[in-house]
Amino acid sequence: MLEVSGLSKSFGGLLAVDNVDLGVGKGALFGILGPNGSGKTTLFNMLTGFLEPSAGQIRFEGRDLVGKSPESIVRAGVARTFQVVRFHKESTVRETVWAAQSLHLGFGGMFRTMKSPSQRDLAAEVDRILEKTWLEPHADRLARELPFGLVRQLEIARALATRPKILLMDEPASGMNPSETRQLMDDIRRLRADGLTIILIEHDIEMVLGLCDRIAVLNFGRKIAEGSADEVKNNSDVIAAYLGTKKKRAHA
Amino acid sequence: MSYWFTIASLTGINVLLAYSVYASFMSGQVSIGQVAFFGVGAYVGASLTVLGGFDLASAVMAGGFAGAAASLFVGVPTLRLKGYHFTIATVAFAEAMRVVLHNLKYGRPRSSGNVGDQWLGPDGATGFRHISYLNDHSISTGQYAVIVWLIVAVVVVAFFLVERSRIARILRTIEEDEVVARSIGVPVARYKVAAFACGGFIAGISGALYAHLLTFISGNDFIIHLSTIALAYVVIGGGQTMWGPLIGAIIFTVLPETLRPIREFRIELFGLLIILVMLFRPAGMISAAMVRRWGVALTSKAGAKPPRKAP
Repeated sequence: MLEVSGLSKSFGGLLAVDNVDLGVGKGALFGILGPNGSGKTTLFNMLTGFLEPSAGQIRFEGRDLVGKSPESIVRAGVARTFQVVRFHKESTVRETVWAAQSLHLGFGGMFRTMKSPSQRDLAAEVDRILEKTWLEPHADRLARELPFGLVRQLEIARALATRPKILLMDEPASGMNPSETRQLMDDIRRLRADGLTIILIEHDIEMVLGLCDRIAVLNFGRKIAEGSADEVKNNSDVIAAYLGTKKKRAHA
Repeated sequence: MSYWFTIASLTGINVLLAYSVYASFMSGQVSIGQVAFFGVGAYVGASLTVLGGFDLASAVMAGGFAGAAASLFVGVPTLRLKGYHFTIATVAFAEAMRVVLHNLKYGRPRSSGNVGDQWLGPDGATGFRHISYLNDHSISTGQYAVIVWLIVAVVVVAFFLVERSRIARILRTIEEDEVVARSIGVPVARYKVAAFACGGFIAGISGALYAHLLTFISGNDFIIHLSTIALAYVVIGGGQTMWGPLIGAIIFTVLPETLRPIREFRIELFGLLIILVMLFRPAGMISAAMVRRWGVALTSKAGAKPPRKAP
């Protein structure tokens, strides 16, 4: 579904992402693991069009995504969530999700209000998404009044409203406590069961190992390993780069 | 009475100017150049009635389109920039436009008139005189005030409707964060340019109305000061909803006039009021929270609508 080959990005002399190959099949739950500064977010920004690669190819369903604008990549079916959640402070939760449906509409449709009879299907879709993301009871509250645990759900809901085929999640568990993280893992599994392909960026090893069926590990911009959770866990390069340092710290 | 009709027309013109700022303000773009589009609209509108023999309606519409065209000229290259570059570009354009208008000379000699006052059309620094459409067609100041406020009503209703549509939510998303807006598939630059062009159109209409009200305009009428006042209507009235520009422009046009009896103290009072509003209501006099409360109060008082239930 998503094919990445030889992807590189350099900032001045620094190679942030170095010759990375990835293949993500339809329906996969793919994890990208790596310590901070390993190039995960840079890779994500290239996949979603916010950064132009220095070299390499990105193909989604056979179409070349390199050089495409972020908005046309979303239209092709690649949505993303951000690590830091940002939304308009004076909009309600429902309005925030509703606004993200704009890409399904032509010029005239943009002028319709939320209760427009001609857009009942879209309104029903918003309801379904809110239900799926636990936001239904808070739908008419202002987005800024949401409890912290649900803020990231709003981010996911907004991405779902664009009707993605593949969802790229940038550290969705950052700032969450263990029980919130477990809940999030369940949610991600359910999204996947609904047929969504998901790529997850995390530095939380437990989460990625417990969730993803295929994992690529980045370090200093290079892909040092790829495989199932077990394969990655037992890879000596990964242990040296990532798990090893953690073990040492735990010892001390 | 005619004095107050003129104040009413000026208030309407200022309300339009406030909405011209608000259009791009919604997407987070602060323009201090609206006076340029106002001036272009004034010169184009006046030229059409005085020199072209067109009627007022066509002249005002043409003023609007000229304002929109001028705003596209500034907006297309600069709205792709981030941060304050756009604002600075609008200031620069407004100042350049003032100089251009100040030096414009075209038209034809008048058949009658005193020596030194025999030119129809803009006459350089002397300005553009004899915009006598209202007088020629015996439109009273009262009738003109009605015309102006009808146009204001159309614009207010348009903003009221847009505010309830996805367009407003998207402009507000752009205001909050352009990266997020792009991540939900919004072509950000296109929205910003379109909003700015709508603002330019409204400013152009406002300028054409102004020219016909005053009958005499010159480049020096269109100084940056007017733009900053228009921005103040929005910021002090409240930039979160479409009610802010309306209330802001009305209060800050009518109040200084009613305070004339206290003479120069009114300037101080005016300044004090601005400081107080900014201190105690940083979101402006009319905030989004206030509009929501009123909306709830109105629907519950009317009692006509039962509480909303999920279908």
